[in-house]
Amino acid sequence: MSVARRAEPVRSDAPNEVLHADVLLEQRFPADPCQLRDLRSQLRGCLDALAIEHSVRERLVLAVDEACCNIVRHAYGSGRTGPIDIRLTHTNGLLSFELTDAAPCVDPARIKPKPLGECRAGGFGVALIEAVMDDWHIEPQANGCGNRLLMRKRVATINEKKASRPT
Amino acid sequence: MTNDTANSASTTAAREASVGAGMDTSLIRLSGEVDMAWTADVRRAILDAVANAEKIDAIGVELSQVSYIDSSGIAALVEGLQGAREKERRFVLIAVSGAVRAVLELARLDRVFTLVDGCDGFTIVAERSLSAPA
Repeated sequence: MSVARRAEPVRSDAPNEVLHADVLLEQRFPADPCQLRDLRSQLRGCLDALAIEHSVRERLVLAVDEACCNIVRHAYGSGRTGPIDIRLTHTNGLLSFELTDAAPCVDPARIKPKPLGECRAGGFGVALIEAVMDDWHIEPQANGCGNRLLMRKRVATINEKKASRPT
Repeated sequence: MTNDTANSASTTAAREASVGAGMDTSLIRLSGEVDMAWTADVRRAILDAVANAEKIDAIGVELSQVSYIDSSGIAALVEGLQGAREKERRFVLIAVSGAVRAVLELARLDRVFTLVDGCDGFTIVAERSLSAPA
């Protein structure tokens, strides 16, 4: 496993403006439920470094955890395993969580959130991701093997909190 | 206090007043992080308690020491609730930690379950404690 923090140039929506994405976490781990506690701990550390509010942090950790569980349970499925790559970046208040796997490609049209609040034993994962994140989408990898899930959330960063405080 | 908050508090108080007193209860205490790696054990314990509920009134799951729960853990609780309903027994979540309450609220299931503050009033006839593997 590896953890990296570095700045990468990314194009903004404004012409001729280049923002820098801070890579907060980048690592590969096996698609194994026993790996997820360590991942959650690392995510909390990264988000705490941005001074993100505790309740928001925990929701984000839950959403990423649910996404990983779905990769383990549904993408790889019973009896199969493989790698999961996570990449967490922060660009001007926007957190991007990118998860890629090497599982058989899934049909994005079949991955839809079910309504929350229903008393059913399962099927909450995508709905929780939908509830937590500002947007998300999943697509097959270009090489025809694996999937890429991108989840994004705009958050108040430590600098924005300082700026909003009355002087 | 907003009207919604006041209504929620009074609803919770009403529900709490109706459970606990004199109920023979099978209690499961959970601690640690309830996630996909551990859920199978938690689910089995809950369903065992439901399966052996002939001589009790309620199954209680004490959650004060649960620091994290994912949707698989919530699903295990829902299965317990459904099983208890089929047997006409109460299924109660006791001393729910802030971490669990937040996920229940996010999943909009906080009003599906009966939540109580503590074990006071319950007659604990069987008790089992499970801790997440280190």
